[in-house]
Amino acid sequence: MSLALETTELGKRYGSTWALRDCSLAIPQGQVAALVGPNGAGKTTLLHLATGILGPTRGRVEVFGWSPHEQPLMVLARVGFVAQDHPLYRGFTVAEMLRVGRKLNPRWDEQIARGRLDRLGIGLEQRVGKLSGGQQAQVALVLALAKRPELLVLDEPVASLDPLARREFLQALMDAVAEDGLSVLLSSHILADLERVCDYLVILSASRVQLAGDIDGIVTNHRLLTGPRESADRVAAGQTIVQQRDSDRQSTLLVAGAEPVSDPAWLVENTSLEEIVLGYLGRPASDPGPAKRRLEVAS
Amino acid sequence: MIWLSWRQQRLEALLGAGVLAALAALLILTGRHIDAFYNHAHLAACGLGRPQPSSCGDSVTHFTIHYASLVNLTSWFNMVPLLIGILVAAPIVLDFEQGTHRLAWTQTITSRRWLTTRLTLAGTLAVLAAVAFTLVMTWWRGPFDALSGRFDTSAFDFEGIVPIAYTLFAASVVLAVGTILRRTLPAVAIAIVSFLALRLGIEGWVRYQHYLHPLTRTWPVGTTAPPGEANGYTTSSGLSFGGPPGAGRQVIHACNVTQTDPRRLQAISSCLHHHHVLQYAIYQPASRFWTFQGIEASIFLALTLALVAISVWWASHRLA
Repeated sequence: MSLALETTELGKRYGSTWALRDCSLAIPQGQVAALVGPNGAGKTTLLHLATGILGPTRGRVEVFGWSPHEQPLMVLARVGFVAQDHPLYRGFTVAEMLRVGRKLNPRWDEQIARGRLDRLGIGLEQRVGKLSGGQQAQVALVLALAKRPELLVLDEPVASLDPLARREFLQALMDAVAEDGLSVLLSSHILADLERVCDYLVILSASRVQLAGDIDGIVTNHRLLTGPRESADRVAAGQTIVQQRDSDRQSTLLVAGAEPVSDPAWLVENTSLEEIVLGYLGRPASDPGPAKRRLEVAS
Repeated sequence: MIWLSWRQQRLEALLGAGVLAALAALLILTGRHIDAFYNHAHLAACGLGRPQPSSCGDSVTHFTIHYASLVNLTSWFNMVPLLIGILVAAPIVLDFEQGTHRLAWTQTITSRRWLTTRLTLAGTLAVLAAVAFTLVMTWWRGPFDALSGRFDTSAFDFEGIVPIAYTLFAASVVLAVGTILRRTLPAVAIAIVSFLALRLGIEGWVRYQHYLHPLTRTWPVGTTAPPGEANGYTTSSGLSFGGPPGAGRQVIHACNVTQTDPRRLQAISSCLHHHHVLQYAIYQPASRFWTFQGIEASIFLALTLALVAISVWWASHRLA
């Protein structure tokens, strides 16, 4: 299986603090991968490393086998990027934005761009700064798609959108994936919709990868165990614990793996993706103090 | 990429062109007036390095006083290179502030090429504007320069090659600070302060004092200054008494200099002459004009290069 993105012990340091470290990932082609984590977890840094905007401090990142920072021309034509807050030249008309895309991209497809804008009802003579937030996000997506990328990278594409615009944006994204079969890597701190949209999940927290894998596999591989608190330690001993929550009499364990539970007092349930993600994100990080503060600035 | 660079620079470029055109109109209008006065008073005969007709003294004084306030006003034009620098560099910083450089750098174009194109265009616009400004100012100052040379600040700052260096320096401060802070307004504010500080500092304490060692000439009181390299820039002048310490005080006492009766000027003058008192002037000769232009331009251009290098390094290593 060929890889869209591969990172090996990738790290980026600003001064003395690491925005991302020891990040090893392999995202197969044709997947829609979600990068999930709290604000400041290093998501933006990872995406900037993947698009070559940043160079790594340590380790390697490869997109289709090339280094985005060292061999940018091998990567840039094949990657579409929508940065956080979907930056566009606000004083330009939509037509001028298309002209930017046409002039700067040899693989530019004007028909894709005009067709999509037409369907969205966004006029070419409108000024970008006058469009709604949702429309601006759509224009940014159109620009990225008309490059005909093989990998589309999106940084918090729906974070600033209202629920309706969010659904329309994701719909447009899904249509594009269905049409062109491209690989997608998107970051988000919003969990809703991810399960519907994505195949692959990477959980990033406190600058480190906590979990990465196929979403179906992840959901199958995690269970929620509920039982009396006094026997919690005994049950937990045989399990890989992601998170443990205790109330006065009852304990809830989120566990990875399929080890059997012999104690009949304990209830074993399948769990949702959201529950799993929250479980990983809720774990105490090894060194959240200075790193986290710095990350707010870095991301 | 050239189209995109121009499109992003267009508004500021047109604004700058508008301001320059208005200034040029003002200068051409007043300049024609000055030329008419100059020709009517036959001042061309009173220019430097010519045998001076006796009428020259009064006509030159009249001309100089008539336009003194106008010439003083032109000191505000020292802000023009600063303004041009801000206008060409701000659009680039605005890209970093709004994050749109991320859009550009992920098209099929390297950040290096983006930077090169934008900096080249900004630099070209800055040089064109500065050259246009310098040409108009040099023409406007023609009559004044013919009478009193071009080494004084009111001419030196607007002629030759230094206005171009000032402009590029101002632009590079905006660029460097803006690239690091990713904020346009603070970058402009810091550029204004550092530009004025450096310009005034060099002009007041470095240029005429230290670029080259100034010359000194002396001549007896009551005689005219010896012909020579006049009309440069005099940093200081006065009376030189010679002899042991305290000699000056005795001479002043003997000639009764403190009594300021205009009718006694002639008497005081001959008395000082009698005591072998010399007049002196410490000055930079006019022939050093281009040397000084070269030194000053080199300083500002070297700073410009350093600031551009910092900006490029920061943009490619720290900016994301």
